[in-house]
Parts: sequence; structure tokens; C-alpha cells
Amino acid sequence: MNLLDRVYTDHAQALFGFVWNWTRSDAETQDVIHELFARLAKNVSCLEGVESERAFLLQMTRRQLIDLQRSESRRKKREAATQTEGILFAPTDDPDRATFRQALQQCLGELPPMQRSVVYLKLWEEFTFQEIATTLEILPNTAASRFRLGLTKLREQLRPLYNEILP
Amino acid sequence: MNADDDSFEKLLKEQTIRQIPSDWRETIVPSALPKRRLWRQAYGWRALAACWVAILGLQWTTPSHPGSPMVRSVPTSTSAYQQANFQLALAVIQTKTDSSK
Repeated sequence: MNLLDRVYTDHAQALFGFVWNWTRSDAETQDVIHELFARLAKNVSCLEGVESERAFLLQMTRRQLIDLQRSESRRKKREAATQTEGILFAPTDDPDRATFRQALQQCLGELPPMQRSVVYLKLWEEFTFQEIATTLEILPNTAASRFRLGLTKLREQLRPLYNEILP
Repeated sequence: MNADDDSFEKLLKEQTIRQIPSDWRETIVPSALPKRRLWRQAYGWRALAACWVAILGLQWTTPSHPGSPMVRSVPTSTSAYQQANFQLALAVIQTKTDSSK
């Protein structure tokens, strides 16, 4: 197994969730991850001596996403395509959970990208605020406050639904 | 953080993220870069070949010692060669005439 294969096996799932949560599109997510691997293949040594590969890769990805956001043509294209393409959460047979997941995806999409990235890293990657701060190049306190703010917004919007799900 | 926060956070964590589509690996991992490297190599060789062609072209189209006054004095046009041959023929005739006297 070469380095790229190994990196893909270890981190692609996390990258997928992180990028999809930002772009809200399968096609753009694939483009971003592809570009990341292209960059890695050009400079495989960049992973040497890295403390946390995942945090490093997510940081690289975040920079790509910022560039993508700044790109005028991409922005226009994204604005034109207002509908979310694909789903973030795994399908479930439980109808209550399916409804909740759908609503959660929508509510996450309404948060600013940086805020929802903090929420994603904290909840689904179980990063500490310090790790989130390093990955997103913000202060740990900022990460913590963005998480709390994001969580509050999600709770307010999802309260009617989660009251039904929670025992 | 109260119990409500905790239970809500726990509920969110339980929502599993969709698996990355399995066919993406085949698209991403070969990642076009080895191909790009080959392309770059080919591009490099082509550029090198073009440089050599340009160098050889220059070599063939310029005099070997353009700065030398000796080379500049050598007649190069056809008429000049004809004139030189004519003078040589005259000299031969003159030599023969002188020797027959």
C-alpha cells in the first residue's frame, strides 16, 4: 500500500464529512479531496514529522476551501445551484431519525461555514478545542465560543424534533 | 453546560455521517498525478529536444567563425566563385603560353 492509499484509508472518511459539510455538494467535495491528494502526491514529504496527520490534512483542506470560496467563478456557480446536492448523514430505517437527520443537515447548512466546521470537528471528529483551533487557524476560545453558538442555534431549531426522539 | 446540552450533544453525535462513496477511491487515489508526472517528463524531453533542434539550426545557419576577418574575406556567392575560376583559368593559360615561348 503506497502512502496515498494509506492516507485515503485512514482519513478520507473524515475529509469527506468535513468537506461535504462545507460545500454541501458531492461533486465539489470530490473535487476538493481530489485536489488535496494531488497536492499530497506532489509533495509526499509534507506529512513527515506531522504530529496529527488528520489535523494537518483538514487544515490543508480548509485552506483549499477558503480559496474555493474566494474564487469568483466557483462562487457564482455555487450561488446558482442553491439546492444541496447529496446527503451528509447515513440513511436510517427509523423514520423519526431520518426526519431528524434531514432537519439537522438543513440547520447545519444555515450556520456560517466556519461555525459548522467547528461543530463538525467537535461532534463527529471529537477534536479538542485546541485541535480545532490548530486546524481552522483560530484561537481555542474562538473555537469554543463558535461551538457553543452553533450548538445553541441547532438546539433552538431542532428542539421540536429532538424532544420526540429523546427518551 | 447542563444536562439538556449534554443529551442534545449526545444525540447529535449519534447521527452517523454517510460513508464516502466507495468509487471515489479509484478516482482520487491514482489521483492523476503520476500521469501528470509522466506528462511533465514528456514535456521536459520535448523541450530539451526543441532546444537541441534550435541549437543545431543556429549552428547550420550561421558561419562557424562569424567574427574572423579571414572567413569574411572568403567569397561566398556563385558569381564570386565563377570569377575566381575564370581568373584561375586565365592564369593557367598564361602559364602555358609563357612556357611555350
